[in-house]
Amino acid sequence: MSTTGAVFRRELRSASRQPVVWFVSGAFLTLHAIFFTQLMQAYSQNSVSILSGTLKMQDFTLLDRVVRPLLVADTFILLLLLPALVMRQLAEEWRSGTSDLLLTWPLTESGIVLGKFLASLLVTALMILAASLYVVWAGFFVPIEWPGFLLGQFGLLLYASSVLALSLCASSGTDNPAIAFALSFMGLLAMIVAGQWAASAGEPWDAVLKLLSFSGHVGSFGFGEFRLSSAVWLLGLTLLFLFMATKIIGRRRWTWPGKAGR
Amino acid sequence: MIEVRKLSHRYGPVHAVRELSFRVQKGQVLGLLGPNGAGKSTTMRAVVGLLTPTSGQVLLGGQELSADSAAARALLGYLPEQVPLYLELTVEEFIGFAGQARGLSGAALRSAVDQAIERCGLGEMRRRLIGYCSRGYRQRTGLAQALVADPPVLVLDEPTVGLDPRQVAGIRDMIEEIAKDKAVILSTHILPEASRLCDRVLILNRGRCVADDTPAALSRALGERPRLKLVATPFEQVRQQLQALEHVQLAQAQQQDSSFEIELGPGIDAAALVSALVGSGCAVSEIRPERMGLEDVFLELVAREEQA
Repeated sequence: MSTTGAVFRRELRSASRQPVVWFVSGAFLTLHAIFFTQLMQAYSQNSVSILSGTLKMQDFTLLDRVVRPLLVADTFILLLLLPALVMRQLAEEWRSGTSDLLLTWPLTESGIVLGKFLASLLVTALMILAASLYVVWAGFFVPIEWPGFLLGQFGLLLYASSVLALSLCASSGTDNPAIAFALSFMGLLAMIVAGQWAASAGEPWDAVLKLLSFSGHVGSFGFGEFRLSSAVWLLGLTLLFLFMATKIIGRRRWTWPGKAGR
Repeated sequence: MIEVRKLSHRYGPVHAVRELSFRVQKGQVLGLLGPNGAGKSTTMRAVVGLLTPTSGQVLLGGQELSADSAAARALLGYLPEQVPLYLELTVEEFIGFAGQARGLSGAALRSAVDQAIERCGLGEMRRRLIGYCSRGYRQRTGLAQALVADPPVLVLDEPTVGLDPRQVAGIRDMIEEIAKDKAVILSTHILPEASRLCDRVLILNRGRCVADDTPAALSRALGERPRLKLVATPFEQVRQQLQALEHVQLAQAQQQDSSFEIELGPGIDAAALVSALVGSGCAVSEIRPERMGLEDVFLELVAREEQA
């Protein structure tokens, strides 16, 4: 565990000095702010409809009109940005040859993967926390159902963890960060699009595609509903990809020719 | 401390290393020499646990090296050929990370990092980002990470490659100092470096061990035919005489200083040679036995192996 901690601390230290991490964080907060501003503007304008009586107040909560659409937007933003955050984590170790050091130190493959994953999860959690302050600020002026909002953020974090794990897995199999990004982006996109395909697919594929789709599982959190099956699915996916990353490193360590050998 | 038993490795149909066995004890420096493609890198990677050999065993401190052998790897300090470093960390942070990865923490970690920094002469650089350090300091940083947990086994792959002469001298002094209480394997292309630092050299060619002895013993063993350095004039006349004499083999002739390197067969000695030259009107100003250096031994052994 202490060696996982060593990798975790090293990753955080490196992350604080890597432009890509600052770029990803900045881009997430900026895009989140743009969506939030637009949704809030729409929310303010539509409040006229309440005054005129065409909309009922219970259909017009901040949760329904701002938080939930924002959650959907965040899942797409993170889909684009999180692979960029993680693409270098293992691919760069192979490319630069630092993997030779890591693998000759008394570290376990699972310790390396876990340390890197936890560091990127912490960075992502801080990003989500910072972004959630926008809604918290709005909550001072408009009533908001806090349990529903917090559940949505929790679902987003679970989703982010599975995205990070998949991206880390892609990064473990190549020494080219761009390829790692492309692989994880395509994988994630397929899992997002699976939900759309499910609607048009006949039985039994609709059920299978729904099961594979991210949106079905993250969506439930957005609607203020805690579905154990969705939480287990997202956690299971995270563990599966972390396990795969560990196995890929274990396999490559004995066959990789090293930086000098290429 | 390091034991390699019948190590063999193949890349497809190519034998990179064949049945290689050796031991390195504490306080001993083993030099791994050989031309490109001799199997040095494969051997090094197998010894540090980065490659599974096709057959054979590697034991560090009596423990077999394998994927889950964290205990065996804890005994090891490894400096790869092109020192890979995290350029965004400072020298101190990187060495600290290497210490933490080896299980050090708290006061023990701080003390180990300070010692490694002092030992490798990195005091002024400790807070500098590695990306801003010169090649020499990066090499020292690489060495410091290998030393931070004071491992009993050190594997150094081309530790002085690409350094300027002053840096080379500094790194060699350091290796000499730290090797006193460790088992060290040193891979190098620089033969004077091996002569100076190694107690034993293992010469590889085409994956086979062609020699395993001390540099001095190898020179002696191959110097069974006495080689002489001769300075005599006039150049052309001396050369003709040497070529004409029986049991004398002219190895090298340099017109610039009228010097010759010759090997004497059993039918003639140095005194007879000088008499013959003087008798034919040549002036001999110098004659001395030429010791075979490690470079000559290396070339000779590799040439013999190629011929075989």
